[in-house]
Amino acid sequence: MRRALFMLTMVVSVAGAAQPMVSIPDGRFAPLFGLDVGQQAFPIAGFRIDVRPVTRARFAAFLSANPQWTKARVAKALADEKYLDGFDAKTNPEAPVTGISYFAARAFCADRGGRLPTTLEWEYVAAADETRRDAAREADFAQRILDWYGKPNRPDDLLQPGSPRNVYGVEALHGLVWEWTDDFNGLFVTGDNRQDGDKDPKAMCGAGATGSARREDYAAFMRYAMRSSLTPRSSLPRLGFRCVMNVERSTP
Amino acid sequence: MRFLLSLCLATSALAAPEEKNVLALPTQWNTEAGKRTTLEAWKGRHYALTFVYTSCAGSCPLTTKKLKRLDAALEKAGKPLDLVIVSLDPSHDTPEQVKQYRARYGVEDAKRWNVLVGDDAQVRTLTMLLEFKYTKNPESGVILHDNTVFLVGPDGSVQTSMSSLDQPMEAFIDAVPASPARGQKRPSR
Repeated sequence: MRRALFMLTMVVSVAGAAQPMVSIPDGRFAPLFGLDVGQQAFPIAGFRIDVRPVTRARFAAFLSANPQWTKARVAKALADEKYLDGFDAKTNPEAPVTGISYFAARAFCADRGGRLPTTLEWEYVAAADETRRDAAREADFAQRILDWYGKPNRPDDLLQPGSPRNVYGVEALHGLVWEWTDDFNGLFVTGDNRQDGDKDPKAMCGAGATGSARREDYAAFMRYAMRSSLTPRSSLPRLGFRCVMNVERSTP
Repeated sequence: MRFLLSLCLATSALAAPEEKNVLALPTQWNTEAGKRTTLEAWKGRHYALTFVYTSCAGSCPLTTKKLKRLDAALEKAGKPLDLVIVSLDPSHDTPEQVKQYRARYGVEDAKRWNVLVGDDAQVRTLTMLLEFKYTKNPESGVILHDNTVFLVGPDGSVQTSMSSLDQPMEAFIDAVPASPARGQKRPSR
């Protein structure tokens, strides 16, 4: 009986239970980039988000059901050669899955009926600390994030908790892994900016920093830089993801 | 000779096999005639593919004018291609808007032009497959975007690409095979 209960618990905790999510309320947020002259903040429609990054165990279950995303079978157009390098769901199954391409992360979320968060949504949630919804410009919070970013990577860091539960109930947005966003490559900080008149002049060279909405938020600047370095096929040992779901809205 | 061989090897290493493929994931679109279609409809043939949105006042007019020049130059070279133009703004680009867009550029009856409209998720998928970057300002609706025209091959892979703004199009035209296979079925639109 005890053994049966144990087995049942294992099944529920690894594959059966829905991944815990929390609700994020409607709000307004001023991202580091993207605001035009005269715009103070963008409206955000509420959504639900995973409490923690997607785990190895959950990704392994996805691979079993969707073998086209296994390392052996994934199309070259959808993942680079580092995809799922050393992936082992049996060792530390609750650690975040990493080494997955954007396309694979997106497919996982779609399979759950969700999607990847937009960069705006991700940054909105990640600006919160344990008590404040927008702490990104608070020196203490900013410094904690930068301290995490400055830490050398060690393999067992993936077992660390990451940043504590924030005011929304979301955990480990900082200090564990970088995370894919649905529009991660949407920022135009490139060498071409001064030639291409259609691009955002605030994201050009030095203006990329001084023209941003939140100059104090150097941690966000690092995240945007990190995302800009990726292609959708990139598979990195410290890059994971979490999913969001839309909230049904009744029309007035 | 050895130097030439090294040079060739170096060049081929730089020109690694193109991994971008528009058929790697399925995407669904509406044609101007209101029919559902996928890019599988163009499988087996070369075509040019790019993205615009009809209310775009920035680079899209230049892109569209360049597509007209490309269309004419390809015809002159005996290499006519379908042009597939995907809307970056599906919520705004209704069939009526697309009709006005065609009229604005004098391509009402251009049979090789195909304007496809899907939804935001389809646009995101296809642009990611091509690493074509864009971002929409959530309040003003203005879309900042790349200006790339892709030459897609019969298997959906990208053969070459060019800027639709300031890059000469000779290399793009040269990359189109001289004698496209005859008897291929034209997708209905």
